[in-house]
Amino acid sequence: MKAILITARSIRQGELIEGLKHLMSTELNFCDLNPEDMLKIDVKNGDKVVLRRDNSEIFLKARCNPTLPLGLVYVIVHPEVNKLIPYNKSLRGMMPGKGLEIEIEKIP
Amino acid sequence: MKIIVNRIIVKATCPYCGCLCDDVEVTLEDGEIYSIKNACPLGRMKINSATSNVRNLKYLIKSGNDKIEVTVDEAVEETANLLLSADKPILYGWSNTSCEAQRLGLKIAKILRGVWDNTTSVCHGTAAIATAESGIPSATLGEVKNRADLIIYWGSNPLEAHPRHFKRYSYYSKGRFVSNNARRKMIVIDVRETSAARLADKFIQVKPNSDYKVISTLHHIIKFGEPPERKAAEVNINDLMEAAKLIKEAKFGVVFFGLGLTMTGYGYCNLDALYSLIRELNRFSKWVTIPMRGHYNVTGANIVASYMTGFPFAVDFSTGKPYYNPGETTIIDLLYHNECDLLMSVAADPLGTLPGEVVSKTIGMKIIAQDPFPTPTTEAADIVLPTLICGVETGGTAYRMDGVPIPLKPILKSRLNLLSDEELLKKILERISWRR
Repeated sequence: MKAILITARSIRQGELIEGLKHLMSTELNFCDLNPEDMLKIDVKNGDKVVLRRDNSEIFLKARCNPTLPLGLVYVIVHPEVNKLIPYNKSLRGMMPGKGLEIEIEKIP
Repeated sequence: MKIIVNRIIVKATCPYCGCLCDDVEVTLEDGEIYSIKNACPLGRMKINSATSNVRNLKYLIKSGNDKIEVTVDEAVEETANLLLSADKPILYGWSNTSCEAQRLGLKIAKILRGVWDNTTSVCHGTAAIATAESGIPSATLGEVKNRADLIIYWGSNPLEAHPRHFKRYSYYSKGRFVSNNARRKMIVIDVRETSAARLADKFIQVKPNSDYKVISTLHHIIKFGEPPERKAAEVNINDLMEAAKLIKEAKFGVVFFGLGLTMTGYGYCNLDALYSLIRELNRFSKWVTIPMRGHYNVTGANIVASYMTGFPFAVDFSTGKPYYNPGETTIIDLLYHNECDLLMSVAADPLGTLPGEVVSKTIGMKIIAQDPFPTPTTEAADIVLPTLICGVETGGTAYRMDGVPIPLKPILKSRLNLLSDEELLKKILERISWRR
């Protein structure tokens, strides 16, 4: 399924930034999805999903978030997620960390 | 038996986010942290990290596949060697350290004819570009606290990134002329319902990458009293009409914007449109806008670089004079196009925060990492330079998100025999100047 990736911060992510980044990949390894989107790709809370863009992919656990709009995937920003973020010349030095089109699917 | 406890209270400024809360009180018992008052979980973590075991403790230089421990003088000598032998080094980071250290970094970059860039380029860089083009109608957080009766957060969730912002400066603060939040209103504009949105008087949900259109539509409604003929499908027009009514009724309004606005869609055009809207709103009442800066001294990095070179970030000294062109002299462009042969990171983690496509280009590149904590960048570095934590173990000056300078005082005496960023950079600068 095609979706729009939104990365953002959280208190826990902020607590891990200084010196505890090695814990991020285990503590923040989830992505939030709307329940209808979860049905579409046939995943339940805690199921593993893969997020892909071009040749990059990351593996996360799905988490239900009814407040998210359809077609949006929300991921707490951490080094692993940056693998999906492309270089974009037109952004004048900025990285397109929000509003990025990706593919998401269930890992069987 | 008589137990004597030596307990003192230290007034401190929290060196975590752009709020720079200067009402923090740390109680020390026999020189160790006993309790921390008035800090959010992020500030508490930062202050407590001084006693953490997860720190860079040794000066390390890569030797084959291993890193060997060296003295500070050997590390400085090797750092100077690498910097002087590089054709075009980039010195990046600078947002988690003092203005004094930033100034030294700029001097080093100038001598080396390298590039000096700070983390602004990948977070609020677009806002800095828009500010340079059209100016920013802004104010201090004190003015907002004392006067603002309408507060808008656009693409920003302070409850997660700046947890004390509400209480100290905006919605929940007690101001001189606006005494409580019953007299303030808050609008949150975001692509998702954040925790801040749930507290807002009005939440406006927009589609991703549509902020420019939404700002333009709101501008049209405010100016002409009705929506444009070609309505933006990315937002509910009735929501915007209601927001426009609240905006026109306000006596003093503020728009706090975050990465949800700077990092999406049309980039700096979003901010250009926002500043234009704010100027229009000043025809009705007083309106200002303030960026929600993340790192505690990223604003300082912009101010120091601006007064020393004329440019807020991405300053290229390779021609002997400062040159600035975001998209060309910014870190991700330089690394992606292999235009730099050495990366020196100071108080930042470029390998843990930059896009994967850019990080992959640093493989084989010489890296010097100066940081109190282990990060993906220190892991990959050829030289690791540990330092004291600025604002906790050592002092300096930092600028709050609204551009107000705040002194940072050391909270406790470090148990580690390390230098501050400023002391270490001074040694590197002396070494380079002497060799040049």
